[in-house]
Amino acid sequence: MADQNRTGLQNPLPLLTVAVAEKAQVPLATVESIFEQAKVVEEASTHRSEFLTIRSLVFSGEKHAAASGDGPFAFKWSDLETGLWLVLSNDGNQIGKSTILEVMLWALRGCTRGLRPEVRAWIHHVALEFTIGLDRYCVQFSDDENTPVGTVLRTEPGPAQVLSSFTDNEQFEQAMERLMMGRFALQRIPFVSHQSDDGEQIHHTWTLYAASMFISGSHPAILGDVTTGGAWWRMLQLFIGMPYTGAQMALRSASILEDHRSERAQSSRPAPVSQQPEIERLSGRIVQLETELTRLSAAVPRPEDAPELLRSFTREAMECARLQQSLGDLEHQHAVATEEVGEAGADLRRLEDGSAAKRFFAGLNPVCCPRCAQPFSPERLESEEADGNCAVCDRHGQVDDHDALEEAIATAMERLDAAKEAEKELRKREAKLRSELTDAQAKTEALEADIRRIDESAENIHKALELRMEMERTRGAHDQLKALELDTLTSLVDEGNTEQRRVLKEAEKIAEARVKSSGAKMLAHLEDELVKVATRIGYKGLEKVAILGNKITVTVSSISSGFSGQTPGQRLRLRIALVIAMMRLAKESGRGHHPGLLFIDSPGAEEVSDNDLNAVMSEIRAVCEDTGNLQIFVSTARGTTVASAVAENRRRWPNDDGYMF
Amino acid sequence: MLFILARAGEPLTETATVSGALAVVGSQKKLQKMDFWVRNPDHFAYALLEAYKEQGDFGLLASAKSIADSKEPEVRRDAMLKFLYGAYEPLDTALAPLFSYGLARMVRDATTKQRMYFLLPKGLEAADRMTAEVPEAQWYSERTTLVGEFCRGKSGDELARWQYKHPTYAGARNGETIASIAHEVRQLIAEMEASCG
Repeated sequence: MADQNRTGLQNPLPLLTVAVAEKAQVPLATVESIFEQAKVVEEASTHRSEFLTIRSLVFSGEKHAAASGDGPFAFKWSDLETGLWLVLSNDGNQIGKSTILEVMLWALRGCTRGLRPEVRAWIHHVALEFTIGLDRYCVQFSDDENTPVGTVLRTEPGPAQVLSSFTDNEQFEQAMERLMMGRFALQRIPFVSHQSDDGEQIHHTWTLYAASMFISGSHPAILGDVTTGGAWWRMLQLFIGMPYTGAQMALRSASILEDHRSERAQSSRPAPVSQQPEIERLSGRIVQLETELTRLSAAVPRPEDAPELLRSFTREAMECARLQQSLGDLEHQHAVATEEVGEAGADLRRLEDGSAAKRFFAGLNPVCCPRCAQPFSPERLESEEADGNCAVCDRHGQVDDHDALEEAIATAMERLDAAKEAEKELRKREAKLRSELTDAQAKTEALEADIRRIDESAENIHKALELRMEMERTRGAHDQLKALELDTLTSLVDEGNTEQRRVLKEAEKIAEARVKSSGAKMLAHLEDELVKVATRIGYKGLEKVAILGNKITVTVSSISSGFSGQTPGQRLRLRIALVIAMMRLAKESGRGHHPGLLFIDSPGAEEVSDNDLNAVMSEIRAVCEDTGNLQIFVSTARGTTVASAVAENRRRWPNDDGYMF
Repeated sequence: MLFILARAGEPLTETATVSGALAVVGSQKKLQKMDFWVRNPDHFAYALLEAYKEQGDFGLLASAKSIADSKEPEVRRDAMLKFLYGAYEPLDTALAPLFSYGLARMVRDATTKQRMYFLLPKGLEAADRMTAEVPEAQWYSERTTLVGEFCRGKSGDELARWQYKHPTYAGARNGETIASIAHEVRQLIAEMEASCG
């Protein structure tokens, strides 16, 4: 059981994703997806502590308008190793001490920090050699008009190897970031920028870490010069390698980002207005248009049939005209024939009537003269009976008249029969012709109707074109509204994205708890070591330093106060002590991420007495020697005071002209 | 002419001066007008239609339709010329046998100088016998009876006004044949039937 407790196997922690899925009661895949999106990485290995040691610095160029006089210059500082190194002058400022430290930092991080522009303009070439572990590197570059062009080389072991080349400031910075972040297994420090509407997650990288190695000025924070966002606390956690720190930072940043975006979305989103009624109206219109277009496209005959139809129509129309002409002629003939029948019949009737009347009246005897109405003499009547001559006109014509009448009747009957036959024939022909005309007219009308439909279809083509254009517009509007509706729904779903935010917050809590539980011992150890080192380098009366989250409580003579409540000298000591403490712990445990390099510019400004300053430097040297993984460069104008703190070869004094270069 | 006098003549009046006469047609004009309608069944049918329009007597319409539906307008047509006072044809030749056989007699009125045509008993007897014995005479007997009924009580002038109602009759020039209106009459009857449903 004791062994199990020692190895931590009794209650092994599940993977962070598994713990979050269980706590948030969501599928593991959901958590993995959210973690991937937030770029949360759960460390599975521990980085072995390494340290950076500057081996040589060379820079050269030409001074212009310098107090030390114009002209070329060259600065070279070699055979550097771990431990304390001093850049000294005696009350001489503006002679280039800080420049040496600034150029070192420039070469290490790819961008300047406090290097004055006019001084940078003098420098044309820089070469910095340094080692990390077993590897030796060289950064060399020329700088013309603020544009560095150079290479990063690994010179040992083996043949020199170009790791990267750069031709401008950005590439230079990126080249050093890649090298350093990789070598020291440093994690990028995420934070949320609120510059854009949607917010943006950006990262602090090597530039920030490297800046924390330069101690100068007012000491606003115990680590680095950035006070916002608890940057020092984050760097501290990552430098000492507290477990789950990277994951917790990424989760917190992602959570903040999602909160920010959600708030932005909430505040900027207008009340959603459903487009559904309009979408339905447009859908209905599309169906109408499709139906209408189908009807128009199905119309026959088609316009291309027009020429043949027109030819057929012309043929049939001409046939109709011909038949009508023929029928007109035939009707006339028929009418004439009918009239002939009538007249022939009338003639026959008259003859027959006349014959009958004649026969009847022949049986009568005249009694008087039709002219004078006087009675006839008996002799005339007797004479008529005797020889057949007429009693009125004395003619013998009754027989002749009878024969002539009979003959006339026979002729009239023949005429009537012939007329009837002719009329019958003409009637038949007329009926036939009329039938043909009816057929031809039907054909003509059908063709005319087809042509009319083509006329209509010509209008239809125009109409179809308009309908198609309307169809395009309607479909476009419909699709856009649907997309808009979908966006609205998605937005509504986004509101439901509180689920994602909930998971992130749960994850952050779990990660934070793990950071605290697993890092508490490390932090306590660091606090103890910090107090020891700070005390050694002259922080008198310091009893306790408590690092609680991003807050530091310093207890001096039983009085607790924050970091900002300390004097500049106390703050300086705490800053130096923190780096030394980290490196001492790293040496002890073998793990840590700090490069073990420190630049301290003008610490004398915070020190009242020379003795105190000398004591501080001596202690720093001693601690460095104890630790063995630290390299500290200090520049100060109180050279005489502190010079004895280190061996002579670790001091760099101005040249004979009073300037460092 | 015999049948016009026998079937369409009117009873004698005090002015009638011929002894033994049975009926009279009081003027040549009236005789001419009645003769025109007998010889032109289409014009007579038109007069019947006009009378039907005025009186609403369906008998008149039926008579007109009967004529129009038959071939009478063509076969029974004996065209007449038009003169100053309408249809006219010299009657002397037609009437001469009637006078000669003692069937009818014409007398001028001493005062009015109008010709009056009298049917004598032998005339009526001849008309009746012809109707009975001669098939061709039957149509004349019937038609003159119908014309007589239509013209009864009307003067020659009144009948002339009837006949002038049709533009074909009225528009015919002097000395020209008065044209047939059979087609028009048939069309008119068809329209009237169509409008009556």
